[in-house]
Amino acid sequence: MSLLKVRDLSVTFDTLQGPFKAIEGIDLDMEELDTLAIVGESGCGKSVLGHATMRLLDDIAVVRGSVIYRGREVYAMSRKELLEMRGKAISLVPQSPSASFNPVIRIGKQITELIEKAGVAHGREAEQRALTYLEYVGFSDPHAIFDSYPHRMSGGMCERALIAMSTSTEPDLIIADEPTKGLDALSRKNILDMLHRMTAGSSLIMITHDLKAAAMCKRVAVMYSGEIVEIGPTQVVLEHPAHHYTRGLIDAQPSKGMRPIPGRHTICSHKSEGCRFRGRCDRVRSECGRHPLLREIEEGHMVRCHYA
Amino acid sequence: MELSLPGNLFRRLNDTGIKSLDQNPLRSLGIIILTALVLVAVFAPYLAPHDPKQTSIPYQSPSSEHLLGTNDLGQDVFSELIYGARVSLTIGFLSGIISIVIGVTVGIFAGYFRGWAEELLMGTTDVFLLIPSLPLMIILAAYLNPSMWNIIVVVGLLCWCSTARLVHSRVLQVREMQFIESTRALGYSDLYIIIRHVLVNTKDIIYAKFSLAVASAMLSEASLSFLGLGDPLNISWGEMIHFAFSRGGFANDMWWWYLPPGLMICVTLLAFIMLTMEGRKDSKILELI
Amino acid sequence: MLELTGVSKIFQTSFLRRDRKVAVDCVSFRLKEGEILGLVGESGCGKSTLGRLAVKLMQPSGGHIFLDGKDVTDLPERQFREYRQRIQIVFQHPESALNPHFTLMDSILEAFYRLGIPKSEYQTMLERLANEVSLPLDIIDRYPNQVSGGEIQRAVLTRVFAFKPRYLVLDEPTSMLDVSVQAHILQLLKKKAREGRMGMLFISHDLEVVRAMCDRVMVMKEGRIIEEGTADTIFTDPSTPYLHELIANV
Repeated sequence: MSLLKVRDLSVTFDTLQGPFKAIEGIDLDMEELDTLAIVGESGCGKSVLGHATMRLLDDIAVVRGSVIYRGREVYAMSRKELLEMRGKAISLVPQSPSASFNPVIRIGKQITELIEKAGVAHGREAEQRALTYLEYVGFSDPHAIFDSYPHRMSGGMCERALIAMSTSTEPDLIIADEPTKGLDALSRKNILDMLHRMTAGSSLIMITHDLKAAAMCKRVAVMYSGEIVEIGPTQVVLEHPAHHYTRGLIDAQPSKGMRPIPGRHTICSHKSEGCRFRGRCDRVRSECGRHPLLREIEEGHMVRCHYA
Repeated sequence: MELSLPGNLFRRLNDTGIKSLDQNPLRSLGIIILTALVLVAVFAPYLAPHDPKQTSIPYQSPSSEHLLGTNDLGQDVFSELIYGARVSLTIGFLSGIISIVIGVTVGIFAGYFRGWAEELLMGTTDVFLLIPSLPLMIILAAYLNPSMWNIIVVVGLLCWCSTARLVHSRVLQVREMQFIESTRALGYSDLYIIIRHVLVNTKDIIYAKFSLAVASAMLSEASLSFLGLGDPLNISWGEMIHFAFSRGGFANDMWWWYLPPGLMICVTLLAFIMLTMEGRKDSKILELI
Repeated sequence: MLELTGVSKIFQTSFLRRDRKVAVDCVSFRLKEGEILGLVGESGCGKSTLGRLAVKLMQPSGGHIFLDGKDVTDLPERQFREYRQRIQIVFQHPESALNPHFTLMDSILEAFYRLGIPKSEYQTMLERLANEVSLPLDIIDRYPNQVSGGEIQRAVLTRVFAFKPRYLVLDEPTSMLDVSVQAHILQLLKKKAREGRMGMLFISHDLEVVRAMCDRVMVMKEGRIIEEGTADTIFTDPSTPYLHELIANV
């Protein structure tokens, strides 16, 4: 049985300018011990997708479609079942690590709190578990970090503590939202190595704008303007990209030529006919006026383009 | 990208300002009440049935002639109440403005320049905060002549401290923001930066505090007047209660004399507080994307 | 030429116990017009502090700063103000780069006003500068929270270029931006350095960006410059083990 099945997921926000569809028609499958990177630039909807998978957007958005976790529909779960699932079965490592901790409670207490709420351990045992995980993520003095407040720690340290917290309940699926944003190159590599180690026993969805971070996962999905435009094995997609946007992202990297993608990434508030990448693609042809569907061009590799 | 410039160069209003009024029923209610009170104060001569200084039979109960009866000198209480709006609101506003101006100036200079200026200014603020304000006001008011202007100055001079503190802590935050560093790097002078950039980022605090400062000033004035230190030539609501108390109004259960001014003070204060209420916050969708 | 010799910055962390933190330790470098000089190092190595020292947003604790031959180290702010036109700085975080109560246009036109540009020329100058950095003119009447990070940085650059600086310090200007937007902005910076004969001090923790952008590179660690050289030699033949490690981790 597959771990997670997302079918035709779409999320619409109500804004002052009218309804805004952040993501549309998303289909995803995750197996046990599967690792998937969701790559895209700001505004493509990748974070929204991550949050919608855990049904965190109930108060602020309208969600259509279905998310099935281990055979159960997340959007039909009762509040009790949802709380059971979150933090224990599916864990989210949110963006902005320093802002994700309560600033007036010590780190250790916050981690222990989660462990106890998830029912994994209690009291002394929970504290011990927290310390163990703090050690796993690479802190040389876990006791000092346990007693620390978030503001005394750097961005990289907070990210580690956050990952320790999220993995301490040994969830089936970890969703890491931009784990390396704002960190310097050395920290980035350390965090990615550590994340790789820590998530060895779970499935991982990594949401990132950094193509190098995506290289850590087995599969990668590229998102543009609320849709998945390409998905497949990482090696294949990054070396032989089928979609022109993926090609553009790769070429824009400083080590690969630093060639910008022409045009502006505008967040579409209305979905116009045809391919959304049309305005920026350099091989636009007549068919592009018709909205392309995801089609398989080789084993496990799908792309949303008429001409790939 | 070769688009031409839009017509107007300096747009000041943020479009969402007007929309937010609809979403904020409490604030709208406060605005309505205050507008009504200001209109009452301005058009007092047209609204009051009698001249409040004209005497007639004292201690009358409410009647069609005198809606709220008469006081110990036979003056119409209702007319006194309407004219009282002028005095109470004027003193409240002017004292409020004085305390805001002093408080903001102290807070901004202390917060922006730091160092010894901050020590000096915030130290002074602390000293003023330590002194119990009402007793000091009483002493000052008793020492000076009981005139409206003296009351305004006394109240204004003793209420600026909390404003200074709030503005100071906000300015400490604002000055660390990158755009302030940028303006310094661009070569703008400190005074210009304070006026053009820092002040505008403290305005939400200033608006909220102004409302509360006026409310607090009105209450202080009412207290001083109640104790008999008010200006006898300009009767405020507080003074009406004072006379009701000292001239037998309480003792004789003349609720029509002491209750209305008290209620007016309460309603006005509530209206000012409602002005500071926030409406529904917009969802933070753009942070997620 | 912008020259720093023996510049240090020491922070006094505690008044009584005399704890000092040496953020920048005796750094010297030269920046010529038209050259892009890279400054790399980990977080906390002092590169941001050095950048701010170079534009005198902080006063050095020791050493000298020479701007086009003149020693400006001890010049009081009032006198230094006229030199500020020549040396500008761009910061990292777009979300706090501009006053949130001003539209992009307000922020840019404010600079025009301070520069004494006649009102009749505002439109032409704005269009020219905005086109240079590809800042779309249909969004300049928006507030910073209504536009993207890339657009904010472009507005910041528009404002900075209005000053026609000779030297520009860039403190991680694109690290918070998407890779494609970053590519665009870095390309235009490179072009501007060559054509406008602008000397740029490019501070970054990202070695790949520095390699693609810079002519010469300085490597900083714990406040000191531990290695210096042309971009090619530094990356192909690093001499210190620290740099070796940094490159290996990319």
